[in-house]
Amino acid sequence: MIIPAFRNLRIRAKLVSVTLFLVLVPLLCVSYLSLDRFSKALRSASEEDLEHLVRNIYSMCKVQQEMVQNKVVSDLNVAREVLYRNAPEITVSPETRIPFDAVNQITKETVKVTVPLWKVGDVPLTGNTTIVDEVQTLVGGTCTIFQRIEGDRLLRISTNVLGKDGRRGIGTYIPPESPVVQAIVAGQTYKGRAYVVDDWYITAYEPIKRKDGTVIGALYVGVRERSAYTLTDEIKGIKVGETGYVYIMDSKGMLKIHPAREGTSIIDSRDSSGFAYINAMIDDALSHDQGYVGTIRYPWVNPELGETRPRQKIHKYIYFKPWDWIIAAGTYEEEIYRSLYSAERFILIIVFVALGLGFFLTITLSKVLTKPIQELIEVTGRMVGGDLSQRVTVHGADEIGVLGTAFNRMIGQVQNYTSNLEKMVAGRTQELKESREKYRDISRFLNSILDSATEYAIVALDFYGMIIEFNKGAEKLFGWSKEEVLNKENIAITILDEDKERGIQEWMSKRTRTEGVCELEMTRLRKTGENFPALTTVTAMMDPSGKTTGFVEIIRDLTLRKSLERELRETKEFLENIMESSVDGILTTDLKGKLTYTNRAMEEMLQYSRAEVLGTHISRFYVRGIQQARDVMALLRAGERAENYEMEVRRKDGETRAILTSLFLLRDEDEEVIGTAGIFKDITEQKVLEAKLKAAQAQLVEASKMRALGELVAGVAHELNNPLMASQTVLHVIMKNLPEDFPERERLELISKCNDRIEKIVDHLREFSRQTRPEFSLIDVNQPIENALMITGQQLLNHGISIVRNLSESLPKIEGDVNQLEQVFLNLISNARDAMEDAAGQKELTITSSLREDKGAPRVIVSLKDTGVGIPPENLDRVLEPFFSTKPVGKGTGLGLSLCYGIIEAHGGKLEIQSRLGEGTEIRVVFPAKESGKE
Amino acid sequence: MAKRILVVDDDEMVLMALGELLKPEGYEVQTVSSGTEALEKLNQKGYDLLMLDVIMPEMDGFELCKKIRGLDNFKDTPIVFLTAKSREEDRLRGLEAGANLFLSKPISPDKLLEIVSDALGR
Repeated sequence: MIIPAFRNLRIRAKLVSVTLFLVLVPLLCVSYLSLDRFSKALRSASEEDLEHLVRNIYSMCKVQQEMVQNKVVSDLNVAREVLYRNAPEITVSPETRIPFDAVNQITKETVKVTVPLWKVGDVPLTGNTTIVDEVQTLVGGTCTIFQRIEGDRLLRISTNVLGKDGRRGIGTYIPPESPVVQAIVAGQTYKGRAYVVDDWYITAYEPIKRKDGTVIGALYVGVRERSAYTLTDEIKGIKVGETGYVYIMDSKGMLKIHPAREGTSIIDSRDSSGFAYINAMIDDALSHDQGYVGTIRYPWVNPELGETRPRQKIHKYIYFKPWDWIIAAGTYEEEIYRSLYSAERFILIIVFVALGLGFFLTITLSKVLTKPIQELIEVTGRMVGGDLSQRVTVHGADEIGVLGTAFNRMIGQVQNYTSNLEKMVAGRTQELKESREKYRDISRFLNSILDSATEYAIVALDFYGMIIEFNKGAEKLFGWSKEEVLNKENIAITILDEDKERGIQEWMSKRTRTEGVCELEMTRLRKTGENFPALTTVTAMMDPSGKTTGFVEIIRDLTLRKSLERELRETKEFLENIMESSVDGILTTDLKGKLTYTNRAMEEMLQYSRAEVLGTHISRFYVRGIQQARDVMALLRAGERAENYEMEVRRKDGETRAILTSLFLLRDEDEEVIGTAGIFKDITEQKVLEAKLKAAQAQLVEASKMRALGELVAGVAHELNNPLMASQTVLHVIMKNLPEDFPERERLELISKCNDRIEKIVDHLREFSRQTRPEFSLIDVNQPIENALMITGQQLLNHGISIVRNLSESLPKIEGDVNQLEQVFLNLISNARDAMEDAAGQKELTITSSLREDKGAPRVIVSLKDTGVGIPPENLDRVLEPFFSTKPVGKGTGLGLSLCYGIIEAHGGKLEIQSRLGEGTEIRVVFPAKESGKE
Repeated sequence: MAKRILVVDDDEMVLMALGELLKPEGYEVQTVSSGTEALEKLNQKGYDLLMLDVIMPEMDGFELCKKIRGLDNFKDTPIVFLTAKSREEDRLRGLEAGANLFLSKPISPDKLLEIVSDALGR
């Protein structure tokens, strides 16, 4: 963070700061270090001084002590000498007991005791102070003789130690706790400081032993400690620093030597922070070994001197155990540092001066350095401002000078370039302007598209689906207004919850990003909460680097389409249903005539499955093949449709079927022909029926013709009757009244003959028209045959016709009218006769009656075969026609066969005619047998 | 006295022919051409024999015959049908209507004369 900030500073600042840094830092370091060193040195020096002081005093004391101690010890020797001058040992006289009020020298308790008298030689010791005083005189110190009494007490039986009251301490004792006692009892000598009677003495004790070694007492020499103090004044006179001093206290805080407060106890003294420093000092001093110098620093304020600020004091102390002296020396610390402070100040001044100097120099230097740079900057600035004519003045050949020169060269080049560039830019700017205008136009155009696409919702989204564009179509489709959603809502508001849970948005986003576009049908949500089916198309918006920045969604409402689709589907199904369930075959072909569709009925008709025939050419099924197809096509082209067109079609099994078809051209919306379609009906059966019907109709027509004819004929006959009768009657009358020889008689008779013929003809006519109900009974067909033959037999013979009879005996009976059948056979025989009239060769009439089986039904056949002229084929169909005759006029009326046919029909029979020109005719009459024949 | 015959037929020729045939035999022949006329004539005069055609306009022979038979005077008068209709049922019908004979046209003149004379009891 600092580095970039530094980088952004001006050069001058950089220089200055760096230089300062370079100057300041070492200076500071050095000054600090030196100061530190100095202060430390100072401190330690002064501390050392203090320490030395204290130690010296300690040493002095020690020396003193030792000296005294030594003296005391040697004094003890003297005391001993004195003691045992008279005798080698103490004589204990137990018979003489001296009472004492023994006083514990510490507790001042009294206990009454009696002790045996001690003597040395003759001189008694107990209560006698001769020896001790002598000792004192010799050595100067005090002397005592102790006697051990019960409880390990050492009783003073002779002493020149004075108590506080000034009297000798005879009768006092040292309690057993005393180290002295302990040492003595142990047989040891005690040297050192000890409390004697009422004061501290520098002492030496040695045990007095009996010959057996038992300790019975002690000998003492000692010097009052206080008198050892010769150092007091000297010590008092020592000055530490300015206001410091030395003082000595005992381990109880009693000031032994002090310039001011000697004799007071300062154990409870506290510093300005409340710390009991004296106590601390004492504890510390006592807790360490001999020779340890302790240090204590504490804040101190002298309010009585008007001081308000506590100042740090420093004391050093050492414990001199023999005298129980804590030797301390101390002073205000600041006094120590006074010189330090001045040194500090001095150094600080140096530092600032140096700094100032450095600063100034640096600035100057940097100015010098940066001036050309500055100029460079200005020139550059002016250049940037557009003035490329600027040049830098080069001072000197240092790096900056070189830079300046290079810079000038550069500007020159830049000038060139810029003028070129300006030209290019001008050109480009123009292009840009144009493209921008284009862009404006396009964007206007797009916006108008967006707006006008009111049927399409076009929504732009950012990467996360937030709506950033929402066109009118979207407003209309979803129900939200642009303001409600723009940059406020995510497109998710238009998506169903269950789709969101399925992660559809993520899927769409992913798909769009990987494939570029994603289109799917889904259910969307309107503001009202209403669902609708929608087609969503999503494309990605990308920045130039190809990263997806957002999406464009186009949503179309498919409700209508879906309902249309459904309708369409339903309609299609409905139509298909119809097509498939149609009884008639439906077929479509393409333009080439290849089948494109057949329904089920068609499949059945052709006996081919759809799969077998689709794609094959329709002529395959036409009996007339390709020609038929061509004919059909021509017909369709001419007339658009061919209705009720009959054709023949070949089925899979090869059978030909008669088909009735309605064909029409299929056209598309542009009225272009795209194929043909046809509805086919298999009319084969129908045709058969039709044929039958036609035949039946023909028969009916025939019959009715016949009937009509009959009626006509009857009418004619009827009409003719009267005039005929009149004619005959009148003629009869005339003839009757005529004489025999009337010359016109012959002519009249001719007329009469004419009338007769007329009558015959009328009879014939009447016969023809008569519709007598035949009287049926079970008859043998041979009977009417025989009857007829009987009637005509002779005639036939007369005509030279031989008759061949083949009448079967055991024919089953038929149901018929004998007379009518007789008529029939008469007629047939008559015809045969006429046919053979002019025939060449043998004239033979063969009549056969036989049984035949026609499709399981028994038939009785009567056959008449002649060898006549035969019937020409073109007449064969007409022979049964009434009034058809090939006979010359007058020979036959032509009614015969038609009458026969009528009768035979009434009998349920058939007429079969076979004929060959020049050979003869066979007429077969076929009757249904009613009864099984006698086999 | 001459027997009187009434001939009823709508055909003039027939009437003429029958007249020509019967008159020379001495009969009195009255010809009418319709049933109505016939009934008129019957009101006026009596007849001994009636010859009726069947097929006539307005009133056919059968009806006429019935009507005649309804007339007191002609209950028993012989009536003969002479008609082109020759079917059995026609014959029966004729007889039912009250005719005595049913003849078919054409009939031979001789035969007719014979029948007439029989009918008139000559």
